[in-house]
Amino acid sequence: MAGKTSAALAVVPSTPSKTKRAKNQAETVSMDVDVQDSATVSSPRRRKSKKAKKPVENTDPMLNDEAYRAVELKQVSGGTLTHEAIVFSSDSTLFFLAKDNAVAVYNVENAEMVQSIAGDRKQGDQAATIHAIVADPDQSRRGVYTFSADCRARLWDADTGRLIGEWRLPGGVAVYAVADPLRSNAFYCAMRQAPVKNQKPISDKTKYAVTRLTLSEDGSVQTEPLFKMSGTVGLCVRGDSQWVAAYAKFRVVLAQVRGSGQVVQHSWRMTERVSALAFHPGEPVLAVGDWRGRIMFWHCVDAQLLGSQPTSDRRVTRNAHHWHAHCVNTVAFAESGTTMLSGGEEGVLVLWQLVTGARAFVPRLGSDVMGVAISPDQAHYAVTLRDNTVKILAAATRGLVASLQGLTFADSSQPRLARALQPNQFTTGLVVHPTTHHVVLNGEPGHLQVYSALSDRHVVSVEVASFNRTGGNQSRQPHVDLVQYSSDGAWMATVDSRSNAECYLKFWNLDPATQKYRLATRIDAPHGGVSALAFQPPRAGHPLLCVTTGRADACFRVWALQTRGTDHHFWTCRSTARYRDQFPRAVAFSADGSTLAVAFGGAVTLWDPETCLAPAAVLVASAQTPALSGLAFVGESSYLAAWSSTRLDMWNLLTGSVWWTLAMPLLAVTVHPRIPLLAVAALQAPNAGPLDTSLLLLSPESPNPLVALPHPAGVEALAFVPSSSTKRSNHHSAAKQLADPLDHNMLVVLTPTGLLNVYGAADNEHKEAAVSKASSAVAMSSAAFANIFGKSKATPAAVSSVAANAHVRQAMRLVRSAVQSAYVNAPYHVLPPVSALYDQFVTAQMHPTTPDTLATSTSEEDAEDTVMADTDIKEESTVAVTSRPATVDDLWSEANPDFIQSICSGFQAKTS
Amino acid sequence: MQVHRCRFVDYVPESINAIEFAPSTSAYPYAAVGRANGDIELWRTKGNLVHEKTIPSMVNGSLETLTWAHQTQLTQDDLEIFDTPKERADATARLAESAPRLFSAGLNAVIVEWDLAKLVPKTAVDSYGGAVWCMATNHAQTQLAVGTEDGHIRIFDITNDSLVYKTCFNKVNSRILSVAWSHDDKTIITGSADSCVRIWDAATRIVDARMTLPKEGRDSTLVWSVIVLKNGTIVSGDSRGRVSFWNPELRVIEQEFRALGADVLCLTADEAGHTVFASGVDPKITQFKLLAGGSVADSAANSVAGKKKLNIRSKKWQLAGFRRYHTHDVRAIAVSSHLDNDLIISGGTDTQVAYCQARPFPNENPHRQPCFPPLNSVISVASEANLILQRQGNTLKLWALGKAEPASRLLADQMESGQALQVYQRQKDLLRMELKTKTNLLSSTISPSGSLIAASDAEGPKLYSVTYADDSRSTVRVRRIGEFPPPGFVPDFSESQGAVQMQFTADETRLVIATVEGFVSVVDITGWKSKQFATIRRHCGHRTTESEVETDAGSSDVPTHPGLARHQAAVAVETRTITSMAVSKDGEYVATSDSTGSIIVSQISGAQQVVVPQLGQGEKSEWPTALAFDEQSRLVIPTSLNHLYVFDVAENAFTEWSQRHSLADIPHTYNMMADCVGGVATNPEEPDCVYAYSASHITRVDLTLPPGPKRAVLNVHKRKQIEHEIIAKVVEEKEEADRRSEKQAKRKRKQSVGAQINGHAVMDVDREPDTLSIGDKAEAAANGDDDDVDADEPYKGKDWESTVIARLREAGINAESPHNFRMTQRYQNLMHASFIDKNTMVVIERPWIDVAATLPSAYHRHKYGA
Repeated sequence: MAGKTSAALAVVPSTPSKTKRAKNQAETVSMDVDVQDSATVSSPRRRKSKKAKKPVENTDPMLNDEAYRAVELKQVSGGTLTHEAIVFSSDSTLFFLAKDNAVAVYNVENAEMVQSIAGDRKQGDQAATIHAIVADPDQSRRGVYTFSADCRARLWDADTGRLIGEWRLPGGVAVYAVADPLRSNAFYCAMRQAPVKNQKPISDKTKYAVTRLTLSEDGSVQTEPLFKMSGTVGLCVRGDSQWVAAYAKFRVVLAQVRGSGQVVQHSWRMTERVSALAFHPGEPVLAVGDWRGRIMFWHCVDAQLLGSQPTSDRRVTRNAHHWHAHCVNTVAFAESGTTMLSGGEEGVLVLWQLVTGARAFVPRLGSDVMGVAISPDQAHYAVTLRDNTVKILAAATRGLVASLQGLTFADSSQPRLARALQPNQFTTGLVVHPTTHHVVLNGEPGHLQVYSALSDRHVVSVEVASFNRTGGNQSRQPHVDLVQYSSDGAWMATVDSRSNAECYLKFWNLDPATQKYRLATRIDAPHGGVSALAFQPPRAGHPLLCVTTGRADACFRVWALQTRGTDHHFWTCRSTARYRDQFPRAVAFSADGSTLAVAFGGAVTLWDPETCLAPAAVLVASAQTPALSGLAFVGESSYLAAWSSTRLDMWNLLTGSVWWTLAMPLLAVTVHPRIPLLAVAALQAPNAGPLDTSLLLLSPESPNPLVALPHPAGVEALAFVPSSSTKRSNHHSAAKQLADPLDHNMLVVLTPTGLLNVYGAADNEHKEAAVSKASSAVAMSSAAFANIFGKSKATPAAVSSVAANAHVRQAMRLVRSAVQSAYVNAPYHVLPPVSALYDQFVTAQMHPTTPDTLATSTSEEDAEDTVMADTDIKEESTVAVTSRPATVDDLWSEANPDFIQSICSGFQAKTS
Repeated sequence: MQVHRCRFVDYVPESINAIEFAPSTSAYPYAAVGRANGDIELWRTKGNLVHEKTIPSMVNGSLETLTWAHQTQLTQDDLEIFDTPKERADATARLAESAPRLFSAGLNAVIVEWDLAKLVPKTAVDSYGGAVWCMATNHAQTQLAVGTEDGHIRIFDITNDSLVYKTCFNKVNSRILSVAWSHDDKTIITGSADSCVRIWDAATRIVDARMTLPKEGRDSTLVWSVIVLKNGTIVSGDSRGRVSFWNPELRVIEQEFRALGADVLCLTADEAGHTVFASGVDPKITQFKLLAGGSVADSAANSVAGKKKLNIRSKKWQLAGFRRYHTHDVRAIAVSSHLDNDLIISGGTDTQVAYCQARPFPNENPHRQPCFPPLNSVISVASEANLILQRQGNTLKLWALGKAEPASRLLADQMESGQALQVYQRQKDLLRMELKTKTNLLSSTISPSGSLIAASDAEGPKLYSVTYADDSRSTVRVRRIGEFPPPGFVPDFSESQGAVQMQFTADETRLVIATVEGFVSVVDITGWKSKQFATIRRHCGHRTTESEVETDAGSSDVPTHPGLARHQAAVAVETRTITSMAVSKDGEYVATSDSTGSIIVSQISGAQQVVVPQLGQGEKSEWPTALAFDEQSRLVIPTSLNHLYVFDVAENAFTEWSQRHSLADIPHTYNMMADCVGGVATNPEEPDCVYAYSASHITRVDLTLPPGPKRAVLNVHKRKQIEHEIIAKVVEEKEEADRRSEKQAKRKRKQSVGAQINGHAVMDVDREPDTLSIGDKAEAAANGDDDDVDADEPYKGKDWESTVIARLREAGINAESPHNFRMTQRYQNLMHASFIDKNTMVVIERPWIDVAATLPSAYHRHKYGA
């Protein structure tokens, strides 16, 4: 239901000022929309929410929208650049690549983005995926053709981003396209029949028709099918536009296109898997690269040799150019025909001088070469690398001219459209560097990538563990499991492992001179795998501590920084602690560093980090709490968030009770380091698809989201990026925060496709509006919550226990019941003796009740599934009374551990 | 049965220095392979490549280059002599019909023309310039250009069967390594050791052009090989590993390829000049092809202008493939494009002749001939004395076989399973004798008792007596018996008395000698101790030309010429040599075959001769690769097409078996073996069987049984393996079926129980009761179907045996009728196999790895990752 309205970006109906937009153009991908569009776009969503919300509608829908406006998508960074060769404009000054449903236009000289042409958004909220881009062969303008998933070909002006022409393709989707070298408006395309959903990966069995398209000025399209193939992977056209070759797996098809649409097709089945194809510009040669690293020259592009009948078995003279030891990913010829460029897994660009057989190399490119393009003026080579990098080399010097790097983790070797972060390979999450506020995450194997999400720039790659790049098997490559920084950024701790056998904990010290981290201490096999890692915030007079939790040995260790002399620092294990042979999976320090929280199974244990003798407290929300996967102290407040994949408990440590609980499928949780603010990514419905997610910004005081945003792109990780101006003194008042939670902060969301969506406070005019309505923000936000999830009837488990807003009195009552439930649920051996509890328990039970409230309580029980948000309308005392039996009942219905039952019944007997 | 598997024989082959196909004009399907010691092997190239005969060279001879000549056009002198067209036509026809001539030259500074029939030099002349490095016949086939050590090219006139020094070219200050004639014979191209390719005017004898190749390092480049293609392009291969294609008019390099990692030693081109092969120290045979190319400049202009078409097509050489057939330096490659099977033959230091089809190169796998002469075996075995005699060059080596515990197992078991026996006495090296002969030995044999050894070089046979001092054979004395070749064993007019085949009869009373001139003489050797020898009989069955018959008539003996009626081409007669001989066990008959394919069986004691009818007809013409008499004195004739004939001499007809089973019936595997049968062994215990062996297999053929299915798996080991697999699979299936039927029964029982439970305990099941029952029904139905098939089978009594038999038949194994042509490939590089006793076989191998150990080190090639 809610997930089907894939209103991703256009939900934010903002109209940025022209100046702002112009400013953003140079460095950010602006995803703004026009006002008119947004009106039509958001209407279905509003209609739906109205329908769902009607019985309990108590807020003005307009106000809802205002709440949304407090946060908006500011920019989209990262993403996959391309895994094929890039496209140069016909005058060689620009290059294009299809990036996330838009064409990004870059300057060749400095790889700066000039323009982002977002496809046509009239069809829907999201631009259709662009399958192929072709530079406009017409040299009078700098244009680019796009072929997108909505069966359309469009011609754009690369300088202005203006749509020049649009054609509807009758044959289907053009997945690969190559310009006809002789006619500027003709293309050779691999067409897929029916338009398929964007996310559907291209399989090897997809059927294609290789077609010649002619796009006329008047908008008509002429198609001319040449031949059919299944699983076309590459297409190339000879300079005389008479010969077209395509390959798929082991098959190579060479077709001669004669005048009057006559096609003679020759097909060969290879013994080796084909990986690259190119025609020699001069000689009748087809170069075929294969998985064994050979580039075979087929002397077959000759009508006399092949004859006019379709052939498949005719012997062709072939000679091999063999340098690559691994798969040849790309082959390209310089226009003169004397030079051939090739690249493969070795990360080396090989330049072949064909006449002499001499070779030159551009080595150490950093990753597998996936594509090579030569600019039309032959002055630049563009090398596309597997680690999501495009490097522009000068043809004359072979020196690096410019480099463009995306997130290396978004592996571009995946088949197009099926690119997604590999499962179990993304373990670090998004870590924000405490001083530079760059995002740190998994890079290539054994590496961390430092990336600036705001400027969309790769900053640096940190090699944590070295490995042999080529020829190795995938499982032997190292992997960085975790990374954390100390709060002043002086220390970095990493955990890397190799095929789950070797495991190293490394402490890195920041060299102030070079601003690089240098390895200070390496601890081999700290545990049998480390599941969590945290630095202690610095405490005066105490050495810096770091805590690791073991994945296999059920203990956590505290590591302490030792200093010998002036600058010889090293880390040693200070203490090891365990709790009931449970496995710790998460760890957190309080903001002042005095308390260490470790999650053991479903319990949160609090420790004195200096001693770690025994847990100072054990917090258990309920016996059914699944094993916790995360823990965090919220800002500098006394709240502790503990979450697993299905629920989030917010503990108030002052009271020692669960403040509130959010029971919904969670994808990621992040906590702001200073401000009491947390962000949660959750599935929109318990059985929704992985992409139907929404983002909630929450204050620790209340489960009612300050802001809820649908985020239909899926969520892999979240992080708050504080803007550099945010200081501790800049701590705003609660009301201001609630109204504008992301003021001066950014929320970065990493999607499974490798995009970094940056959310920030909305532009000024909306913000003011939001502030003016701040007083009603809480009420509105609860409605907004319902807006997202519909009525709570639809998701009865969404909020199991809810506290009202900041009414302390009421909260304290809840706390009391929570304390009881904690006692009841806690393992009996950690509980104080029953005699000690008795007085407190009885006091709580003996709360004065009136017949009135009892009556309401029964009615409440009957209507248990009514909206929880409505409870704050009720009288406070009512809530207090009703919540208690509900808790006990819950316990009983959920599970019946005999001893709990007996205890409770015993208590009840006593109280009654 | 006991098998002596001998690997001690240390035959060290000579490296191959030259390979040349006989000229295409001569219709003489031979290739000459020259070995470094001067021996020239002649291989038949029709069908399989089969070794036919070896021309022995001088002792310690040398051979660097070989060339054929076959003059088909009359020279100017001839035209003056034959002035009428009729005479000229006759003379031309005569020339065309005559056999091609073979010349060889080497470092011993002698140019020799060989008599291809008598296996002796026909003419020999001094090179007048020291060692000869290269030699080439001009295209008119009238002159030989010889490049020598001293830097001169010398021209020898070879018209009218002569070989006469004619003229000498100007001197070059380095040795001339390669020479080639242009197609119009007007220029000679030489490559020399001073990095130059020179073009000489053949008429004026001065240098037309000197084309210098670049040097790598300080040493000058050696131009090892030069050829001229039909269109005039000069191709040179040099010590830098490069192959250069020269423009003949401009005299510049048009294209150059770094073809090999080291020196290019040999180049060859097909007749049309569209394909060139090169190889050398880097033993990689590289192929170049002339292919259509585009004009580069043109296409660049084309894509810029956007309108023009590609028009001008030039032809360019392309490196079109390579393949490594050899482990060591390749010294010679030859390509025949005139033969219907289009062969490339290559050879070099690794002494193996490798050949494959030229057209599919490099995708074709090569056939490798063994390093030793596969036919006309160099091994002979004294069956009574358990001695092995091996011939190499001019030396003879004698070994005594070891002894082992006797085993009483059947031959078939032995061949299939193999069982190592306890050796209590190892083989013993008895004798190594170097004979004082002028040429390398042509033939050798040892008598069954081991007391006599006969050996022959090109000059004549010699007989040696071998006496052993004691039983342990610690000392061996060898004495030449001086009076041996009795005066009449060849007629007085014979020029060469060399024996190509010699054999003792089983009772050691007779020695049968086949001479190079085609006589088969029977010598009485009963009185060898008193040096009394007598020629009993001389058979002249292989001398069939009229002139020979006339000559023979003049001699005193019994010149029977039963094959006279045979119409043989002049070429065949001129090069006819007796290639194999067999003496029957009872000493009654001797069978001989010659290279024209005729087989004659002669009586040893009498004068009777039988001519075996010609084998095969026309296209399918075959010739015997070996001859042998089986235990019943039937002549077994394996042929070059891998057929097997059996001829009953007494009946004067092929046996019934042979008549019934034509070539089409021979099992495919046997028929398609690349190497031909080199000998036939017979076991006295199994009179109906013969064991045909070649270098790669021994095949037992039962002559009472039909050849068996065409597609049968012949290799007994492979067959056993397949049998085991099939039987194991069927057993597994049977067990599976049994298990399933058992399970089925159990499940039925369970289902009946389960149904009851279901009735009561629906609540325990997650699924809705309705769907559960439906699902169960479906499942039950599915199972029921299974039941019908599986459960019934045991009751029907599925015949597992017949299943096995049927599957075996599918796989090519007929279990019901026993297989004939049972082959084993356990023994490889097999030099000889014969029976020395009942059920006791000697198998002599020369493993390639042992030969390779004796060879010089090869070109070292870096391997990736090693």
